[in-house]
Amino acid sequence: MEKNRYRINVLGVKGGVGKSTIALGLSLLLAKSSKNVLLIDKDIVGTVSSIAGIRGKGLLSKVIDGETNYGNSVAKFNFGEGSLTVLKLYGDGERFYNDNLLLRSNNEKRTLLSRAYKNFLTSQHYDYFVTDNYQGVTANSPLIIDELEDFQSDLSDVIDLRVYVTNYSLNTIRSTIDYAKTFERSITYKGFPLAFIVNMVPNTSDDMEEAKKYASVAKEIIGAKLPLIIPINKELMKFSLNLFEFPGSIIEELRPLVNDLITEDFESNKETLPLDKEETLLSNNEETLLSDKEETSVPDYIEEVVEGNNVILVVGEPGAGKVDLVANVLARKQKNIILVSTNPRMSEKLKKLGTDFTNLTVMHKYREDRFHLKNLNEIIRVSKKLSTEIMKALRDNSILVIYRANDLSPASGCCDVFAQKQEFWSSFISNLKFEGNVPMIIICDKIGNECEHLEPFVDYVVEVKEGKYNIRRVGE
Amino acid sequence: MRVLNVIYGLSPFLISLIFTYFTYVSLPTVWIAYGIWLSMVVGFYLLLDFYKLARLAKRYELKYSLPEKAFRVASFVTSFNEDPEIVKGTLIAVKAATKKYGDVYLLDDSTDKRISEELRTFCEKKGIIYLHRENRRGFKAGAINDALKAVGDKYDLVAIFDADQRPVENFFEHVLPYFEDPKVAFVQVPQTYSELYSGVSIASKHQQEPFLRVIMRGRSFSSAFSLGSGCVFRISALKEVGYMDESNVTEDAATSLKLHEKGYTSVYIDVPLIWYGEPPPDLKAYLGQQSRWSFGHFQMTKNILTSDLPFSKFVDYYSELLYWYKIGPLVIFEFLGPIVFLLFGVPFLIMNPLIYLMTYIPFLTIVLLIYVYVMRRKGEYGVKGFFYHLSLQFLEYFVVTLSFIAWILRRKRPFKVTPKGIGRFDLKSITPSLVVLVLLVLALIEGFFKLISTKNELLYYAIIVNMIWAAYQALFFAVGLWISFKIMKREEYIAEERVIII
Repeated sequence: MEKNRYRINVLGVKGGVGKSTIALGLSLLLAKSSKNVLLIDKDIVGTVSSIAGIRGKGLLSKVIDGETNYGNSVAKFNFGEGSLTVLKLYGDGERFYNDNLLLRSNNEKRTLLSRAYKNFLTSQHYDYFVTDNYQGVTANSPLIIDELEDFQSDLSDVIDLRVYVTNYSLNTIRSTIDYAKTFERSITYKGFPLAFIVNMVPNTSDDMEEAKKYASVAKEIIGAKLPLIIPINKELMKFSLNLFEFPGSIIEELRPLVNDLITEDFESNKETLPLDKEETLLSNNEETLLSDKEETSVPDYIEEVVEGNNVILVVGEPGAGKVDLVANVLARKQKNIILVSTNPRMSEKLKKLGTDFTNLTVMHKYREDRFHLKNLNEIIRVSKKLSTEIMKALRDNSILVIYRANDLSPASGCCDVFAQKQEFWSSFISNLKFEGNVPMIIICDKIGNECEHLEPFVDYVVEVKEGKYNIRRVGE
Repeated sequence: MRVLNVIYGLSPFLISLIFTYFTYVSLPTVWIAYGIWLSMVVGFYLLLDFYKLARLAKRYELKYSLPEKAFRVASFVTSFNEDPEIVKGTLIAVKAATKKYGDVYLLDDSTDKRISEELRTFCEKKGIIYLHRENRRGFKAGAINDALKAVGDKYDLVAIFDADQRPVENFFEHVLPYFEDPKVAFVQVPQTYSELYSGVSIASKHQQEPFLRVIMRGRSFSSAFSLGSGCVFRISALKEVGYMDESNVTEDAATSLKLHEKGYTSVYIDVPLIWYGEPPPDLKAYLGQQSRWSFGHFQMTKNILTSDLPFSKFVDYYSELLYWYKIGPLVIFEFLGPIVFLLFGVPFLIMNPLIYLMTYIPFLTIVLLIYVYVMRRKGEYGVKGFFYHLSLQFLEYFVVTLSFIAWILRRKRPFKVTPKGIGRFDLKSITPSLVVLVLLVLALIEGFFKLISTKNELLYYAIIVNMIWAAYQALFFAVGLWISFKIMKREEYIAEERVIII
């Protein structure tokens, strides 16, 4: 009897949690286990394609631009009897939305894309399909349904599985569970949620234990088959972004998942669930704290948020009082303040208040490089180099302050503005947050869409307007 | 003194001696043969070190972020009869950069009363400390030493700026963090030639490129040496070596050598932290500058050979020295050769010209290819930069050789500040190059006639080899002379409150 075929969708509500890494690791391990795998890059940022060395546009962009040479939207790698094919479907940044609208109004192009895509799906026999998705996509977003329609029409026998990925932050775990529940409710085709993965867990036994509990609770709530935790990976920091040098240790962490897939035995992982944990996890006592706050007392609240190793984005028009707000919060903290500055205003303010801090000045070299990046890989490399340098300055009980985000954000002509900023902040923040394990305050001047690019990667957004503050948790 | 260093130092001379022994024609012409061999062997040594530094420079990487460090800084601006408007502009920039870190001093050695009065008044108004000396003992190095002995104890670091080299406002934010490491004796930033109003100024900017983008990058954190201006020293380290070396006209390089001998290291930050700098505006000024630099290096010959440097650092310093030998006295042999042979029919080297062609032409091609490969995408260098650079270099053979002779005869050359301002064409400066160009052209004509009349096949190829050489050199001399003619109009300079942040 022929074996079942599976499609594994890697999903997550937030950026920078490691979706692309996991999608890639999973595909590699399957391919190395003598399976034929098609990895479909549906993330509009295009990380997976970039690592696979695909420099051409995605299929959608090509169809819209009237190009017919699809060869460089795909890359194939052989591993013994198995193979991994990476197909760049979207991955050209924000133009997706516009392209998608055009496509919907143009039947001819729509048919063209459909035909081209189906051609890729069936040109070879694949045992597994893996999709990497854009953060927080809903089940009825065009990013999901348009492709799925084509997929299902030809490959309706393929069983659809969902893998949800979160980082090790209570907020994100919580919002990922909510996200998964909503997503699962709106699915009509055959399949089930496969796994709930808590990624980037600090390598201490307490944290590992804690993460394991969260993963099990989440698994129960959404009805997934397998909880999985993946510790922070040092090798990933040094990853050269070349597919062949993908860290083997990450692949190994995914082995339980792949074993289940290959043996098609999804029921042996039953773990007993400590029920009281579910309640703790879901009772949102922070929530009540938030809504009752008076606007003027927000700095106190920020202080509490800071205690929880969160990433806080402070946004507002230039001159709205962001520096004053943050400086006042910091002045009251008993923490080692590490200020990463591109502009002396913040450090001058802190000195005036008599606050002790370490000032890391961002050098000309960085400011030059951020305008001259050649591709997404270079953006990630630059982001890693900067965050690694900052990490070296961190000590115990540090708090990291970044002033101003606008001057760190990459601004080169190489690639889609949206994609480069997303890639940069995703890797920058997750490196510092999970490797450095510190709370972080990022200050951003509201100029253009700059600050919006950061939002998916932070836990809280504080908006400052005419000296008044408003705080909200991201993902709600 | 280290034995390995001395052996390496003497080796090109010995190797050339061996080549000469096998190829010389007669005793009266043996010196030409030796000179030509030495020039080629030295060229090869220079290439080896350049290649080594290019490989290191490839790995040269600057940090993206550095922790702010507070050191007490004295900023010295040195001046000697320069246009006060230019000095004022520099003082404004240095003051803005020094801000909270310390104080700005103008070390004014001007002999022109009107200039020194104007600068004194300006300094008083701007909160800059004005120091004036009547005697010019030790010239620039002496001025720095006198000031350091008077006020140095109040500071950790001293920054030195020439009257025309202006730092950006965040100069010290970039430089100070490196002094966290107690082994760092000084930090150098690249000098900038921004006022390009003549062929010579453009060419000297290009000439700096291989040096600033490859050699200095490769020597950073090892043997990078001070360029005198745009340099920040640790005062305690300077004290240890007896302050700036006043006995040498390039006190910057001589002092660097002493610091490296003491085991200190130095950092070169290749970031445009100097935004304004005046290149030599015309050939006369350029030759004056090169004559001083070469003289200073000839003075260092013994210090370098007997220095207590680790081999790798020694090779860098020694190559720097060989460079001046190569472009001065040695290059003369290279054009003397074809002139003597073609024009006067005197052979000086026995070698099968075919073997020569088959070995030397590929060698030269490889050298050029390596050079082009290393320099690609380095600033605005390119093919034009290459031509400008080499052509200008040919024009200085005479003054560098004069420096060499002056050093041999133990004659002191007066310290001359490179004149700045409006460029002028100067016939005296081009005469030595013009003479060589005329001789080379005559040799080419004579060579052509000999070529069509000769029956001897070996002689035929020998003439071709010499003609190739003569043509190669004549081309660079001609381009060099053309460059020295080019002088553009320049507007009068007025100091303004201008501060640049990068």
